[in-house]
Amino acid sequence: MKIKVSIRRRLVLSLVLLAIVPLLLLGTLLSWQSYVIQQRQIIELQNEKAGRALVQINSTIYGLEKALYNALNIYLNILDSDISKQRRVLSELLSLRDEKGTSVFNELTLIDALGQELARESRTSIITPDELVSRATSEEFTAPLSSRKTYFGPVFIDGKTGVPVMLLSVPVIDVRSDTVRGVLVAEMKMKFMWDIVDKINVGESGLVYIVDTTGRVIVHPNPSVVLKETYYDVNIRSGTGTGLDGGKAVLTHDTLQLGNRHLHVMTEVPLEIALRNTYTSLLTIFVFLVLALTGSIYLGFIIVRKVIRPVESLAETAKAISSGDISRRSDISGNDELGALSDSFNLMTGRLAETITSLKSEIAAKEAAEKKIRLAYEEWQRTFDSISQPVSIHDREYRIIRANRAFADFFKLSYRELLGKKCFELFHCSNGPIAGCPHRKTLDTGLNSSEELFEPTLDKHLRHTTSPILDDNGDITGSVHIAEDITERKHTEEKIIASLKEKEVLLKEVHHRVKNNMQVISSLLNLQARQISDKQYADLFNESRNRIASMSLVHEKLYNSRDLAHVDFKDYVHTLVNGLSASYGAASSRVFLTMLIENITLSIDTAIPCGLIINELVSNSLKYAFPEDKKGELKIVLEKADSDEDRHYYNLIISDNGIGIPEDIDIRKTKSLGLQLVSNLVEHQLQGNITLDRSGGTLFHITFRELKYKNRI
Amino acid sequence: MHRDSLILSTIISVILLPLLILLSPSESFSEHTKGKTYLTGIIRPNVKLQNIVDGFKAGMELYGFREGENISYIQTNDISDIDSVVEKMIEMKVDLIFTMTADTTRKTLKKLAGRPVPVIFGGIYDPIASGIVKSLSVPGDNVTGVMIGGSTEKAFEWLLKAVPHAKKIYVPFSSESDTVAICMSVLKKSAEKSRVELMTSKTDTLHELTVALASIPGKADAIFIPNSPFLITNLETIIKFAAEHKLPTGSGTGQYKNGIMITYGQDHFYTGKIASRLASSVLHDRIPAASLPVETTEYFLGINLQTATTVGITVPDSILQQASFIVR
Repeated sequence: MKIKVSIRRRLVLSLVLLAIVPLLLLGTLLSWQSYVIQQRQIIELQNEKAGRALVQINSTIYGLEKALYNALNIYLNILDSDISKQRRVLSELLSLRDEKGTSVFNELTLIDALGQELARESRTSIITPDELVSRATSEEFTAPLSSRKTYFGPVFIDGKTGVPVMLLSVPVIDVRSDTVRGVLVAEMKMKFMWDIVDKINVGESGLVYIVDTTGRVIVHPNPSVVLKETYYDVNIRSGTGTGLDGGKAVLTHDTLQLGNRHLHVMTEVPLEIALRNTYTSLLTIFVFLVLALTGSIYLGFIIVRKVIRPVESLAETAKAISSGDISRRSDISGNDELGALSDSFNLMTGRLAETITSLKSEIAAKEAAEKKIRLAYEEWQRTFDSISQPVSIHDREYRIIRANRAFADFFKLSYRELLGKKCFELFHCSNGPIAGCPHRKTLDTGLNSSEELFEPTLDKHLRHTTSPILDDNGDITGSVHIAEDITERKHTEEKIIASLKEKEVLLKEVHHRVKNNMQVISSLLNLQARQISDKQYADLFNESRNRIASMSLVHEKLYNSRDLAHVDFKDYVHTLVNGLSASYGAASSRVFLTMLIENITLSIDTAIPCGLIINELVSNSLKYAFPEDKKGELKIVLEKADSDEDRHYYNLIISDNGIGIPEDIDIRKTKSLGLQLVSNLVEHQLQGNITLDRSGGTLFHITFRELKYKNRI
Repeated sequence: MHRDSLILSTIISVILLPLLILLSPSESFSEHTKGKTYLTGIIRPNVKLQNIVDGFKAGMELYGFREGENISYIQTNDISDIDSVVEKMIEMKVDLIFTMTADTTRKTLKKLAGRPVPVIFGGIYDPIASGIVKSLSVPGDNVTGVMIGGSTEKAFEWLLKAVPHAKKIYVPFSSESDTVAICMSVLKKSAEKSRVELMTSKTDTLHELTVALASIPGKADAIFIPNSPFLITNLETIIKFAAEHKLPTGSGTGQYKNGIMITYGQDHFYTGKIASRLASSVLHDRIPAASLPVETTEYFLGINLQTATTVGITVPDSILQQASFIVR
């Protein structure tokens, strides 16, 4: 199965969404807030420092102004003093120094109301009176003269030292006349401002510096910056910008207003320093983020290594196993749940392999069995289909659940079309079982059933044979139905029957004609006998006639019986003996005839000799046993004695209580034709035995068995 | 190592490496000197200039260079063989050489030619005129320092203010240094402005100096000592002679502590401190010396009242009030 969304990808997404993204958002927010706050704070700090610088510078300048004014106040008439005094005053003022001991004035000049220098003192030069000039047109003179206020001149650079200086001129006012009588011009070194800004700490490495209107840096904690003639863009205002050294810095701008002059007071803190806390915050956040990221990655890696990979390995192993490689085993080891899972998985796989092996064996056995069954079934099916008769299996509801090919061919339907159809619908085109339905009989009786039926719709004679199908409980679940087409046989039978009937008629006709012929012979003999006067000869003729009659009677009985091959011998004997009794007239009337004849049928081959024997012995008894009108009894017994194979043994006993046969007469050697005939018929034709008992008359006991029919053609 | 562990270690290393780089100490302004001990060579040509050295060291300490901790000094006072001295300092891999006087600095620079060792000088009268630097704002040649010249004219005036009656001023000079010539030129101009007469004599040896001094009594009203290493070295001789002959002394050298009655010029200690700031910029801020403008020292009025008393001069209060230093 293809994995659409892997656990690994979900894990990474989860880590990103749950750990990294929130951290990034939080970090960005905090960083931005920190940046804004830090920048605002540093600007406020710088403004404060700039303000402090302004205050100190203003204070110092105010002090210098005051010093100048004080000197003028002390020396009220300085303008009127001699030059030496004026120079001394100026020299004293030149000695003014700032807190650091740095001189603040380079030069001082006293100018009268007309603009003429009265005295000038320098820190480096000797100024002779010849060097004094008129400065009547100079601004540092005219400005304070007219305004009566301190004048601040432009900043310029001392050519000898490179130090920026500014002219500071104050009016010399006569308090009595309240007129400006002159001007004191001081060349003020800006150096003292260097010391002021040097003392102002703006953060760790921030600084305050002052730029004049031309952009030149004139005040800086580091004199080198000033002396190097550094310029700066005075248009830069507060905020983040380019610092004096070209680097990024947080800048503030303020204005130092000195009378009519103004200077730009700048503070700057390197951006790196100003935002150090921000950077620290950022760094902290970044460190936290990196650690979290590292932790997340490590955690993810651990999870991947300890969980995902084993799971994937297990999945891969399971996939391989599902693909058929049941020899695959999970190689995950450990004491954790996954290790236990792996062990269980391997154990399960092992057992599965064993089960599969077992199943394979079973399947192989089953397949072999199924193959056998299939072969058996196929064999059975072939056998089933090879049965020429339509064979089908029906359930209890008369539905056909199986049928052979002959059955399908018989109805010209496919096997599938046959299944489920009711048998009576197919065979009889009826809506229900017909009368005499063999299937019903089998269902009712549990026995085989057979019925020959003519199916008008099929125009066939069918022999329906059903055999019950029993389940394990012996209950009938259906039957096997064999439909044998016996139409041809039926037709043959009909022909045979017809032929038999015809032959029977012919045979009857033959028997009738034989009987008629014999009767003709008998009649002829009778007629002949009547013409013979000698009784002895006449009797011979009569005896012959009786013998022929007995044979004729057989043929008569045959053509009158249903069975042309057998004679109802009881009826025959009665007819024969009664006929003999009638033939012998008075002699027979004294003899009491007793006939104990069982219902026996004999074939013509047995019946004719047997009839001749009875004819001879009865005739002999009637003729000779009771001479002289003697009465007596004649008894004829015919019974079945025993059976051997398919033939029966019979006992024929003919006895009388007459005078008996003389002892000296041997029935086998006697000249009497009758007795010779009996003896020959019994022993040679019937292959029986004959005994003669002379103790109480005459008793012939003949034992014979029915002769087998011999083909005569 | 297990393959997975190797991969994990690699991933974590890749992630943490930038972090470690970020967290690693950057070479910041204050930290790049941490743990490093700088070696600074000091060439002091004259014991009278020791205050400059002291001021230099004191200033260096103010800027965070504490001797024995992060800076050590090797100082030589023997300038007889500057080449050897500089060679030795180069061998010792000094980070900076602090010199004094134009001649010493020039010789040092000559020996260092092509060597990346910055030189800070602590008191040269006119470094441009002496050929030490090309200009004050951009010195060039890996050298900068503190200029002390510019006060001679005013110093001459202060002497005259203290000794108003002086009409003849004796000025010894030596030919050892061009600084002296410059100084003499200024003095001549100053004398003219002040309408006094200068008496000069070339004294390149102590003997010459002794002879020259011996010739001035009754002829000169005061002695002005120009910026000359030779004269400073033999300052005691001059001072002693001046005291013996009641001659007031003046100078622009700032050697009031060593007996000169009135001086107007550098304060050696102050000069040394200014030089230390430049040295700090070189060592600490890594600013090439060549780009550090030469600074001019501050001039102070110093008065040695002992000497004044010795020579019988009463310094007016108006002058004393303007003095920055007074030796009483």
